Amino acid sequence: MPYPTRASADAHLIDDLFNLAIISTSIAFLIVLAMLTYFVIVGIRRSRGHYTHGTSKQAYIFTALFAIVVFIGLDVNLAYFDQKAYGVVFSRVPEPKNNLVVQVFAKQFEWNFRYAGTDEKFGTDDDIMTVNQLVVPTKTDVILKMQSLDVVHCLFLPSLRMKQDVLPGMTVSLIFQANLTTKAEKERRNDPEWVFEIACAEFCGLNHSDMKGKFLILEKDEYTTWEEEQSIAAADFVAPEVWEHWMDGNSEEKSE
Amino acid sequence: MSGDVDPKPGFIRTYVFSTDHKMIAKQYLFLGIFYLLIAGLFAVQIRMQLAHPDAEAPLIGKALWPQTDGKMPPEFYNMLFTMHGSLMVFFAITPIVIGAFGNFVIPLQIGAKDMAFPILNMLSFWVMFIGGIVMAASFFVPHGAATAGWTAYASLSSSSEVTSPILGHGQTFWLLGIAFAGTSSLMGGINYIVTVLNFRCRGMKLLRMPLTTWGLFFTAILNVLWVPVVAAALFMVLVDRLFGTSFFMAGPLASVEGGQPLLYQHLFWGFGHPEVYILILPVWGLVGDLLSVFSRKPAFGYKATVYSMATIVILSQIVWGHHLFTSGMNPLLGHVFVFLTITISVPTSIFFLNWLATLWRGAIRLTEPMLYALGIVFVFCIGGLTGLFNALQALDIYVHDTYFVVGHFHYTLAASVLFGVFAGIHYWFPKMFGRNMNARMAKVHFCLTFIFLNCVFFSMMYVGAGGHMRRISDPTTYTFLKDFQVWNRFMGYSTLALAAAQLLFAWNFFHSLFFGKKAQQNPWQANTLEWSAPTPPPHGNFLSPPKVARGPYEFNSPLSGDRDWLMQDDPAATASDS
Repeated sequence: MPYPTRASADAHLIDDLFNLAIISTSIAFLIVLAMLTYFVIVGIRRSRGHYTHGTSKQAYIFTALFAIVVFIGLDVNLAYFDQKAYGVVFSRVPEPKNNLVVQVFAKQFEWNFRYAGTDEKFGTDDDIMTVNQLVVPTKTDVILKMQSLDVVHCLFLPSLRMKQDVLPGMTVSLIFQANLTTKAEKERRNDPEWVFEIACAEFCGLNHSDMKGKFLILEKDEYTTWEEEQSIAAADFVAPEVWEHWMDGNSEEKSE
Repeated sequence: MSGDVDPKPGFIRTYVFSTDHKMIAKQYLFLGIFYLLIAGLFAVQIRMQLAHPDAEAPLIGKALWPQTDGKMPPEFYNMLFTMHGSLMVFFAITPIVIGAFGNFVIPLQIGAKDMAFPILNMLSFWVMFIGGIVMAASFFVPHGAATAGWTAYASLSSSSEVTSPILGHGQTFWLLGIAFAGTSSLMGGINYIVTVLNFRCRGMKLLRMPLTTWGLFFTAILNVLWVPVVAAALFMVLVDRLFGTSFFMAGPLASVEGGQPLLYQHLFWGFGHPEVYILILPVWGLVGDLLSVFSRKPAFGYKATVYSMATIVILSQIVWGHHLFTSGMNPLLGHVFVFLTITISVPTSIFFLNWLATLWRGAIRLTEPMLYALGIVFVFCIGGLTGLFNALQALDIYVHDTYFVVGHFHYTLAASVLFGVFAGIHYWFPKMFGRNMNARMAKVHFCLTFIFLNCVFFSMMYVGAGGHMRRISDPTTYTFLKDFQVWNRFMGYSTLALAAAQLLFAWNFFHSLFFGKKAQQNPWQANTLEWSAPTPPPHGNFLSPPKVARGPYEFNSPLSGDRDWLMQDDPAATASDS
């Protein structure tokens, strides 16, 4: 199947679930198709249909048994693996010492990310801001705290199989851990232009199609270097006037 | 009262402001076919844009956007998919399946002279007509028609500032147009319920009604329950837009605190999920009818089918949360909605069991309505099974808002319901217009439609599995979607072929209206009451009030003698209880 490259240790759970769903529904579909085709081909030559009157007790019992088999064999089975995957992928508890908080401000039509910087406090001069570029270290729990400045957006990270709507007026979180660096994937593909991507999945207006960005996964030490460089540079950075006020009002978030 | 029949109505009372349910059905049918054509052409433009995002839009490009060499601007693309969805759901499928089939079939199948409230019935059509005009007019206001998607999520739809400069009056027109369509559905729904409950002829017990009427009856119930909900939500969007309230506004753009955009999604899908069953229930009923008639065999498990429909009516109202797994709704609620949603496959699997068991040991007649009905069993099986993917929380989060979902609901709504439309039109055309459609042309149309429709919709699910988002006008700018461009081209050309195949249907339909062979009274040798009425039925339907003696599917009954069918009101044989 054409799934995008996986950048986390858990993403395969979603792909496995997808494959399992494809296999089990295909079996059900093929059974229906085989019966449909057979009954039609045989039935065309028949001149009179078979008469039945009302529904017999056996038919009711058979129907009930059939429904139970479908429900347990197909639905409950898939739901079991689904809830298991959900528990692993979407209920991650971040490690207390090994995490990174990134604030996400979505607005038409760009993704804004804010990092606490080297002092690990938001609302200080060394806060790092990036636009349409999410930079994270590998093998670290990343906690995205997201809100929208206008309409509903949706942060989509195809390589992690994750997606979360970003709403105005409330903060929602997404927690993940990446395990494959962008550099390693570039080398594997032998394509220096390759990047992981983020996209907006919820239609948000005129240029929704262009609301996207790069998702850079760095080795831990590379990330530390990047963070230091950016923090120094950030001292000169002036936040865009439009949302400066808004971000000041939301600077109580502290890195844990 | 339905009994009052004006013996000599004038031209206007016969063809324009008619209270005859059969004429209103025809009006709905033509209205629906018109918008089906328009919204279908939008689909072609959408797919051509995705096939070649950098090229000039075919036919209209040079004329509309000379400044960009005919390249389609994103606001036009947004308008196209918004109006494609809205027109298809509210002004094509609803008028044809519910308006036309419901109006034509319910009184005839239950042996009534007309609907319970003929004037309300006329009004419901004309309200729908005004809604259609408002929708059409919205293309000609500054900045064009609505661009917020058919779901019109707040706060995109509810704020005129955020989306400026492109979200102009079009969105307001859209809200009004949908309000008219909703009002029409509500009036129709009340009318259908009252008619079914009170206007059945002698002997027509509820459990002797054909499945089509059952489907339409359940649809009417869901309409009456849920259209007011979406109407209220859209009204709040309207006052947010026009008067600056903040029902669905939050964050920096809200004028006052306390609004909640997520609330809109709950209200919309509270209606939106029953809505898909509103559209498919009559088609399920129709499939039950057609499989029985053309297998020359009683419908297997008739009562189980009716009870399954009733179960779905209840379940459909408590599963809307599966649209909201990514929305920021409490994840604990998500677990509940997973469980509720998968239980829908119990009644659905009973439909399939009953359909297959009806075909089993039947004498199959591959007429054109039967082909479409078998097509529905095929495409709805795919649509239903892929619904399971979207019911699973972890998996749905990945495929949410991708083409996988688009492919899935096109299998259920576009493929299944469209085949239902064709099946119904071919089946009742002789009764409606007194002429036959060309059978061979219909069969060719079925085959072509079946092939190309699967080419388009199956490819959608494939690219969706790769994460291809919906509602983006240019997929080529994403690296991870680069490989899918060949699929987008394939879908583009398949859509062209699919659209071209519909010319066959259009020609067959309009040519047969005037030049088709004169139809017999009961060309399909079916049992239900519409075939006991003269062809075409006069105002008042039946020459004498029918008296029903048995269920609708007594094929090859020992009582039927030489023929293999036995009309519901056939007095020749002794009444049997069913």
